[in-house]
Amino acid sequence: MNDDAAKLPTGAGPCTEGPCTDAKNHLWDYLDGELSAGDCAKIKDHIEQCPPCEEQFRNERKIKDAVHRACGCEHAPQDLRSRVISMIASFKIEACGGARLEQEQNEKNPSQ
Amino acid sequence: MLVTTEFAPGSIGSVSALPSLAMDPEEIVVVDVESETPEERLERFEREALPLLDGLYAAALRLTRNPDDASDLVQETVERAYKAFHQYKPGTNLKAWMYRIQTNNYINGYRKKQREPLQSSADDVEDWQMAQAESHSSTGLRSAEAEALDQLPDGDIKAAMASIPEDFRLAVYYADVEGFAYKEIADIMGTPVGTVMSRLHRGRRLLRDQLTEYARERGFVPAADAAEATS
Repeated sequence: MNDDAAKLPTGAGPCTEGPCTDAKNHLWDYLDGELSAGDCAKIKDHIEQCPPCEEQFRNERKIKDAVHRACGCEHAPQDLRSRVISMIASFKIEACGGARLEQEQNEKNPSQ
Repeated sequence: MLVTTEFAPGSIGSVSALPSLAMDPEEIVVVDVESETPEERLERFEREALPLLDGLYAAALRLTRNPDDASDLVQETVERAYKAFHQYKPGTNLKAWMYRIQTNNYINGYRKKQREPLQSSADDVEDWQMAQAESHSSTGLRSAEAEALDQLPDGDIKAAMASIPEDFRLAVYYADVEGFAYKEIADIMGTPVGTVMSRLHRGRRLLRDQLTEYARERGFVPAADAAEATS
């Protein structure tokens, strides 16, 4: 998505100011999976050959991982689930028509 | 009208036009939405929307910061989504469509009556706060600080999330927990992609500052690193 990323030099040779700056400018685009496959490969090539950049990418990634770990495991409480299921049941009565549902109930429980 | 994933029509910028993230081509279900009976539509809604309940609740918790408000918000979201379900195009991204309903529902009405006090918005972040966050983190997260994040309890991370303005918090949540693309977040939040990127950038800076602070308070960051980080 970034034109600049397409111009990234590959990471061969000693780490110069240019490629490191470019990689850092696209750090979050890279970690968020927003780069094209080609741009992504260029960043990956660079950080694999540049220990300071590799360290920074690894460190920043920890913030993303921490948020995912802490906020990604919450479940809807049973009370909410019950309320939603009851609400959908009431929609069902509206959708099917009360009379028809009643008829089905009567067929299931003829004694009532 | 027959609608499939591959040929789903829709205007650009609409969440309902987004292709489903996890749709296996072999699982594409062709739904004739015009001949579908209300009962069939409801069954489809139940089958597809109920599995999203956990995610909607987690997102609602990030918005409201209160379990009771979060439950109420999710219930309202499900109700609104059902009533608007005839407008949803089968095969497009239902998850993003429902998150957008929830976000709109929260912003346009729910926020006014929530139990928690009014939250700070992105506009309320003073320049000096951002400048401070920028200066603290201009060199990025140090390794000792990053390692400390692994040790922080989930409660600290949730508290740090709760401490940043809600626009930032939601953008970070949608990107890092739900894995939505920037474009999808923009559609959910009703903002340009550039605004999403800015919110993510600023939100993560504030979050990083807060998390580093918690790590220091707990003694997870060696004193030398802490002193260096604040200098």
